[in-house]
Amino acid sequence: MILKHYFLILIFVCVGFVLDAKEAFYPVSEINPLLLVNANSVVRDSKILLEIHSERKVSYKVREVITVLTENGESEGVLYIPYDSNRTIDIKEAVVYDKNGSEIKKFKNSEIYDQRYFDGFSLYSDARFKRITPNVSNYPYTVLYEYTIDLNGIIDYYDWTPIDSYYKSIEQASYSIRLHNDMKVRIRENNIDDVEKKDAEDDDVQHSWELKDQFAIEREPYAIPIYEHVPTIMVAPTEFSYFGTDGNLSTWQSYGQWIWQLIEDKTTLPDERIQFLKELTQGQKDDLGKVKAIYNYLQQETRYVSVQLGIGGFEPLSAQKVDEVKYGDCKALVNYMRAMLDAVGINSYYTLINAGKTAEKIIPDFPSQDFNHVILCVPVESDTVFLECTSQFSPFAFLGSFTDDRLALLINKDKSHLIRTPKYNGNNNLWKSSASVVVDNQGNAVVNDTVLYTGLQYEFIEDELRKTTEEQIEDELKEGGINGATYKNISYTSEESQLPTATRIREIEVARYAAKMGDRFFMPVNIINQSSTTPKREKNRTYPFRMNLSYSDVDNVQMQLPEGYTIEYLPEGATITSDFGSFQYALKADGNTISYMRKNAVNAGTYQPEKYADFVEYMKKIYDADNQKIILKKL
Amino acid sequence: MKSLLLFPLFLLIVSFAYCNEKNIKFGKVDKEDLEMTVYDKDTTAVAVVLYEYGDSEIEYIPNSGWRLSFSVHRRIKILKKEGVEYADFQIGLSKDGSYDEEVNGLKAITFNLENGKIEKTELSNKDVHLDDVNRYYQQETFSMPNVKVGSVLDIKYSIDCKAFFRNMRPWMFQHSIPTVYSEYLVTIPEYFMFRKFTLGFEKYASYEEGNIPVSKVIVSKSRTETRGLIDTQYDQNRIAFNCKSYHWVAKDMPAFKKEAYISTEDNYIQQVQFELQSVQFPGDQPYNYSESWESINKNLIEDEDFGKIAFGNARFLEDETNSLLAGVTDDAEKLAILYSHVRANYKFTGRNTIYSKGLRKTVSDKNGNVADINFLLAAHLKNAGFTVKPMVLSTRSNGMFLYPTVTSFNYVVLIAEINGKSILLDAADKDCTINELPYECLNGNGLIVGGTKPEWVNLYGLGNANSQFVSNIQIQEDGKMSGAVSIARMGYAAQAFRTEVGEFANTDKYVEDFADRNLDWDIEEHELKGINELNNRITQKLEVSLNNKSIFAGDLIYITPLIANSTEENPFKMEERKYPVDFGFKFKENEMVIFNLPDGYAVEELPETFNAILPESKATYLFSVQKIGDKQVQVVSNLAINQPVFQAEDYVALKELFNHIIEKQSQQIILKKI
Repeated sequence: MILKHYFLILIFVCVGFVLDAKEAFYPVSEINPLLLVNANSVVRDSKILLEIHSERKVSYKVREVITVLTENGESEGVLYIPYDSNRTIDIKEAVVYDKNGSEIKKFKNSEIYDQRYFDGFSLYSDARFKRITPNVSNYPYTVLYEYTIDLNGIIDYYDWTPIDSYYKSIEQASYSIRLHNDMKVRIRENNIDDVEKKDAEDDDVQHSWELKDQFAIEREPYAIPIYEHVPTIMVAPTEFSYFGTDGNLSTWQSYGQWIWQLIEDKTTLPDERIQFLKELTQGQKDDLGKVKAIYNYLQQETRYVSVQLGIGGFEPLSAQKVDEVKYGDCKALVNYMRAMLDAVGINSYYTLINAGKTAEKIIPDFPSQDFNHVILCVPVESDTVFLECTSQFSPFAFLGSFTDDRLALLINKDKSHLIRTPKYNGNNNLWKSSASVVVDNQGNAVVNDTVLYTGLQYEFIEDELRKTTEEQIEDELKEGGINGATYKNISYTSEESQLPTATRIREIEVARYAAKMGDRFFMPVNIINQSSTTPKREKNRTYPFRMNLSYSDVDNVQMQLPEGYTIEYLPEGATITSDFGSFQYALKADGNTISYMRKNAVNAGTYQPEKYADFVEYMKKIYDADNQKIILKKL
Repeated sequence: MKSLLLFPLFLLIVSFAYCNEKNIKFGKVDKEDLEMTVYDKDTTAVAVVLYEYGDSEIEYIPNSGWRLSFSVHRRIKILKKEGVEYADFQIGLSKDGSYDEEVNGLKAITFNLENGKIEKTELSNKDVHLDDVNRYYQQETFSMPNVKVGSVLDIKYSIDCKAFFRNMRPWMFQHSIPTVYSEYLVTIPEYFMFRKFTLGFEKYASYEEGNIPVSKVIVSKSRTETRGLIDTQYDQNRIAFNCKSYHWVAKDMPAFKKEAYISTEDNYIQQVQFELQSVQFPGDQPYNYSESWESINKNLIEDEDFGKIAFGNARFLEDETNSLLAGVTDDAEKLAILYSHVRANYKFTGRNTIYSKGLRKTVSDKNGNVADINFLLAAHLKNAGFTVKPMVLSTRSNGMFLYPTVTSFNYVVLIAEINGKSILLDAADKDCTINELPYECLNGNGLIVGGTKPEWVNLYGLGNANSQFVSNIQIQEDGKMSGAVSIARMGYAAQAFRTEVGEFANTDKYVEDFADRNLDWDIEEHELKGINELNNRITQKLEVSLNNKSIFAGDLIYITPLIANSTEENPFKMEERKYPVDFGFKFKENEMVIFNLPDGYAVEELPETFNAILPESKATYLFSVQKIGDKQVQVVSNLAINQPVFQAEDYVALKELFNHIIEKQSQQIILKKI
């Protein structure tokens, strides 16, 4: 009897296990319907554990369960892990389930795709990636990934950003940090209103966060970057070890010291180069002149080649090596420039920066390795100039939208500190045009115009400066340009001044500038500088919106009408002002000529969501004003 | 005793009569080239290939056998700062684990003129990086040292392609920068049969084929086996054989410039390619790779990963086929059910190939490449009693093929018989429907595999796009307008629209977005139909108020004649064109608008009727605005592009046609207060 009972119990246990194993794995039916709204994918459960054993032994243990709801959410179901020689990736589990939670496929190790990572600009780097693509046709489906990333040292911890993209909702996500051997980290919490801090599970767990039931965010036009409003936990090291070198990131000054030791002994130049540079700068009366002369030499003699090697891409090639091969990445070229200035007795500073038009901002009171580029800072008598050393064309001391107006880390032995790069204001970024349009009695016109570009508006045409007339015409034709245009001439010139400035002059014959119909002509008010797009309407704007560039355009056009015609209709003109800028246009007829004036000033800024409808209306008004027609009639 | 293997081996030392025509030696650069500052024939050139010489050769290497090698010598002049990127090199290499291609004898020198003296900087070996890209591909990369405007680069290397005879690299006589001189020599022993093909729009300076008799001592090895004991015997013989040579010289090749409406660049760049067909040694059986469309057809039928799957046994799927078709009798309905089933349940991985991993694997993975998915559909169709064959083709981005080569094909679709008609099927691309191929497939000819002889389908003439826009608009007394707009899209217009809507999570989101971004329209109603249906017609019905389509001025109202599909920009702006204009398909865009006039207004003036017909009716355009009684104006705008490809000679006429279209459409309907 007892035996029998045992047997029964055993059977029950077995059945229990079988049932358990067969139990539906995160069936889609269990998702809160509110989390499906606007969602392409749902994070069902994400658990990330950061374990720090020592400066040289760090690991991430990750378990993610994600439901892909639609084809557009597919990339959220793909496992993609970049790595390099400093990291080992171990994928322990990769399983795909159907919507009911039944297993469809389990990936074997041999099915994991592994390839070199091409960033599009590096000629050589050791970066690689592993990828698993589920390739499931029936939506929704659910993926489970379990993996670990082991690092032999770390300088830049991954941020925890559970909502890292649009159209993705969160059922549950958690992040814990376990610190062994009294290791220390610094933590920064952003936008954590919805994040719940949890108690320690054991003595080693110092920190734990959990995020639940977060709705998907819809992408909105003119959006501020998503990282500015989603919950983020940033972690940065104090003491760290990276590719065998030790450093400390608790202050900008200490981080600067680590960078310093990677570059300090790399400025030796061959004697003949030093001699050459002294001769090159001999005639210059001040330091600014010398810096210009050497920068010019750098632009002539070297080129940018990205070779990401050495201390995980932190250690530049020596000045000696660059002098020999005449190429390098940003670090190597900045270091080379520094060495050359050094040779003529001018101090300059290797400066780390986060480049890019919408790059994430450096947080002054949270030192971390969030830089991706290096420029050179040179204090001279009158001013401080910043040099972009990877471009052979960049105007002297012009940073442009790539590195302007942001914090950067100036490296100076034990005195490294943050500085701010120059900002270009709306009245620096100008477009000024004057044009004459002579219309003949067939409606064909000869257009002569001159445009002056200044500041950041110079960036729009800087490539044209180096092209031949033939190519400049080709570019104008390809980029939309004017229907029916035949270019008689085009030229670009640039002037040296405080801000980069260039002038474009065109002579164009435009067939059918004015459309003829019977006794009438339909003539555009403005083909020189037309706004061509309008923003999308948004019924429920949720997040603030932003315009990145402040600028100011002024146009003046003189139109000469064909003989024997009178003006039947002349648009009234308008002045529109708003928070986003001001727009004005006016037309004046005087005998056989019409003068047209247009002013458009745009204020960069971040605007609250309730202002968005006004913004659309404002932009639409400008669009309509630019697309007005003048109507002429035969006398 | 049985003979296992018989290897005829050849010791071959061939010294060819050819040497490069220009007699340029590596490392010896003319001062003139260094002094050059602009390339006269193309002043826009940022760099120019001064000289290049390539040599592909199959030769015998003792102890390792027949080898394919490729060597190249290239000399490049840097003319502008933008041209320095031509000093970065990447060499792709195949690998298969045991035999990896190798770069040998890489030598590279940068020459600069410093104060009138020639200065040389050699590339150092430690600046050359070799690494794995993936399992089948390696890459050697290097950047030339000391490069600046004015530099001349001399680069020389060879690639040992081992026995990858099929890897003979295409030789491009044309690059994105101009080429002054390009020479290519190919030498192939008669035992290897290759077929050559050339592409491009430029002329060669010279081309010769030749035979080079070679007399050689051959060591042949024969192995015999008797009950596990192997005996090897060597024989020496002197035999004579021929090498076939091909020799091109091209001079003053212009830089290749991309134009709008071309398929892939590879179809236009001046080049030669060689395709291995067979290998046959004396006294041995030929080993065929491919030699004719007949053999390609036959080989594909027998191929383990093609015909054996496409025509193979699919009985394991029979139950599924039957249950899907239970109770269905109509053939068209059966076909639609099976097509929809495969499309909906099997995920296309995006990979284009003609070879399949097998039906069972496809079924268990629930996904596959284009061959997997279409062969699975073929299996279901066969089970249901349809006659179905695969058709292989080369997609637009894969380029054209001119000679029979199986490697040219990268896509496979199906051709099925239904009610005595042939229809085309592709279940991989979700944006097309029954009897329609993806736009990418509209390239050259498709080869139907499976018959006793090869059959072809011209894919260019295959499809067309048809869009119709019909509006009925009421004009109010204050010039404001509103009314109904209906749009129908068929054929490739529907396919392209489906792709556009597919960017959105669902059609509601598309409709919402359409309203949000269309500021000229206030949309009261919008009904979108047919996106997810198999019949190839997508319709939209809208009720709209129009902003900005009229000017209200005193007694007059001016009205822009088209509502839904006006052409505002000419797609052709360049003065001339070198390559054909390839639309991919014929198309029609027709719009009709009825304007209902407000009370108290009459027509003052209307645009004149315009009718343009290109020679041979290659394209036509009709624009007419007519009064209908006193209360209505009817606008008709009909554009028909009647052939998928226009030769470059037709370019100017085509461009002019679009200029007229824009002009006509910007004319206005004028109403006057009575």
